[in-house]
Amino acid sequence: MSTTTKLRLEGVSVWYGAQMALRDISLQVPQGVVLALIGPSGCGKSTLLRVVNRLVERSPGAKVQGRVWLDNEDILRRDMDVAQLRRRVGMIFQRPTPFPFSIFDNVAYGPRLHGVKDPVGLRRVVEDSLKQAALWDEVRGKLRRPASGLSGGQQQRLALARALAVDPEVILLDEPTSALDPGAAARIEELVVKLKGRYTVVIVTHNLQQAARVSDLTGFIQAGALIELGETSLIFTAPRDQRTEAYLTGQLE
Amino acid sequence: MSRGRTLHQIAAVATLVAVAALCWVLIALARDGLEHWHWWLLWRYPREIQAGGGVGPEIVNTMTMVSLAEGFSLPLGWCAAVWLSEYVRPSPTVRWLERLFIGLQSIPAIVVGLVAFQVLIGALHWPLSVGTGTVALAILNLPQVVVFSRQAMAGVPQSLREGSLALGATPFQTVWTMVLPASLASLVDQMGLSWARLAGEAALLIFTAGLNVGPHWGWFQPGETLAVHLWSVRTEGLMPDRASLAAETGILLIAMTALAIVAAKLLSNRITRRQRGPGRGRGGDRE
Amino acid sequence: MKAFFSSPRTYPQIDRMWRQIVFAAAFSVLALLTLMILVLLFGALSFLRHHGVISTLLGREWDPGRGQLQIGLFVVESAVVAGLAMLVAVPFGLGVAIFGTQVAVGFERHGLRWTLTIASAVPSVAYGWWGLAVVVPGLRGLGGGSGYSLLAAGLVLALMILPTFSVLAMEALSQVPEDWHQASLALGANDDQNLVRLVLPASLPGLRLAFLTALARAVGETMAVQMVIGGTAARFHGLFGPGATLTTQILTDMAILPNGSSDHGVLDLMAMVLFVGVTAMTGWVGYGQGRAEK
Repeated sequence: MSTTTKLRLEGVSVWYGAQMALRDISLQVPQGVVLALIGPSGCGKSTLLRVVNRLVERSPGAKVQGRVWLDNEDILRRDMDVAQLRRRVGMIFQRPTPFPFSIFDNVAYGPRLHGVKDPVGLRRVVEDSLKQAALWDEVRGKLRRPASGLSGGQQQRLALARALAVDPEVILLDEPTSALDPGAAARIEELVVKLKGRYTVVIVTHNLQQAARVSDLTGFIQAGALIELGETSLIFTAPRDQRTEAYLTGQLE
Repeated sequence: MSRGRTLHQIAAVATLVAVAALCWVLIALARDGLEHWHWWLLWRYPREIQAGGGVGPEIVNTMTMVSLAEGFSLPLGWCAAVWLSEYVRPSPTVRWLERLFIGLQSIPAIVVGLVAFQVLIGALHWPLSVGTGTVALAILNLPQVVVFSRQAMAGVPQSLREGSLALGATPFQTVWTMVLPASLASLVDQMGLSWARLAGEAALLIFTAGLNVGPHWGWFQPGETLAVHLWSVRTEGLMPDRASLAAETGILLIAMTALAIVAAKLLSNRITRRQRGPGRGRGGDRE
Repeated sequence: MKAFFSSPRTYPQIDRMWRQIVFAAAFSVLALLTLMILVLLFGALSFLRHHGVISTLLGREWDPGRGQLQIGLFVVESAVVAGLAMLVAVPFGLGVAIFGTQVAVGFERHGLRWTLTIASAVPSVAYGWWGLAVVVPGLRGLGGGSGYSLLAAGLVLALMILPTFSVLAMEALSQVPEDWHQASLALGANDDQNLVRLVLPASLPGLRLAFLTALARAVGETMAVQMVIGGTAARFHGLFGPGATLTTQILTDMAILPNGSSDHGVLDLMAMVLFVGVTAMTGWVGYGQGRAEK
């Protein structure tokens, strides 16, 4: 495992109005690692992701305290170029939401935002991204068709291709398979594993087996607080905190 | 953080200008209208050449003609919409019909006025009167009623209908006990807008209801409304106080239309609230 | 009576009655509207039979005294006035819609929407009044001439259709799901890019509806235009000069060419042109465009 820290959170707390969603979270994610975040519903896991790409600020009444560093750069500071940040930190959502454009235009959306205009370059990026997302073979030759015509699993892989097309450094996945059938979910998991090393990945999931399968590190979050974080195998076999154990056994039974 | 928000900022400026212009209209009217306001305007008769005329009859005409026109066109249009919505299967013909109605709802009022003039007054020899004007207004209103009724009913989830039919209800019962209540809020809301639209009509009424008022209200008496009066005073008026009269008529008319819309909106919200039931908790789970 | 309605034995009777009622309603509405169209068609066609079709529709000589009845001039001026109105109203309306959906939140958005709804119900004669009070004198000062002009009509119409267009445009823009916004922003779009590359393209159908509805309203408006346009029918006098549109001409001529007079049919023709134009524009867009389906 790499020893460079890619992502570091320190004392991050988030309020939605008067309600506290995240409590004083501090953690470090080494480069190239896959970190899984597990825990009961509604306890802040998605919020944590959204702090990293600063989408949380879009929610009305959201307040963020604390510091977040991406490669030693404080990304929560006021004069941070948020658009650039989001280029470096990509996100896949729970519901695959293809834009109402063609498959090609969906994947090319990101690169176009960042100034890539020449058709040859775009086509290359689109092809590479689709290949990385294991979707190329299924859509080649049909790139001009509307993306809404794809199946759920294909749409999610499209979302991944879309995110990869801007060449991010970190990829955040917010329960990417909970809306998919097991077959499609398995393919996404394969892809996540393949992303290891080249990208730093944080994946939020309710599926403990999934977490165990794909991640190197696992963090358990309950009621907005980080209870425990460590190597996946250790967390699952010998968790240090009683609450973690309770959650794991409750879920696995 | 104003990077990449130039267009948004331009939009904000445009909004400011637009709202200011719209307010300008209202403020100009209010300023001129309230300057010489007298409460007897509300009941006095208009005067042709002298100052000191009021708009009492015009107010009555506006209220009666518009309300009656709504009263005629609403049930008719709603029933037609029910037929379209509940009794016919979606087919190319039906879709075409719906498109036709949507197109018809923008029909220029002057066109309807011309036909009414030719048929009611020309062929049927009806007098230039309250009655003729009301009928003309009702005809003008029909397509809009059909369209907004149809939309209100389309907003009712199909599952509700299926549930009702599955329980053994007839289409009649389904419509009256389920579809109507469910679409009521939207219907009421639209009714207010429809009333306001009719109240503002002038082109249609000039050649069907005339530019005068009779000595007493009557179905066959000429029936000038506030909107028509505003126009005739401002463009052809001979009385010395015509400038202020026009403005006063204007704010009265706007006040009435605004009242109608607001009242309908409030009633509509009340219906929605009562149907949804009390006590919706705030804030759910947030991850 | 109540027994009749609530007794199961009479359900089939009631249902049948009801079915007949709604069908009769639909039929009569359609019949009424068809009748209306037929009246116009009849008048228009019989007029055209006596006067040439092309010359009437495209010619620009209008002199009832000498039997010259060509409506081409009015068609052009209707188009000019409506076009002017759209030219001014659409950019501002888009701005309002963008502000109202992308910038304003909660209270401001609600207040804006309310203001626009009320403004769209303000009677056209009120806008005409304002035109007479403000626009006509203003133009008189600027360009010389009386101020009664096509330009005045265009500006007054622009203000009149602005609320209508804005409300529909706001509806169109707000239909874009939050999911799409989030996905677009997550890819690194700034607000303007998000607007131009996602929101606007995705709302095109609804925007088209807004455009055509506003245009139809502009073309069909009579009073507000009539009050400021000057009403000289002889020739085209340019933007700053007076003129007449199809709508104002129908209004003026209903008195000059009363029922039964041989030339009355030209009014039907003008009405027909208006009717076909407007219905084609709005019916084109079709049902369900930008309308929420729950």
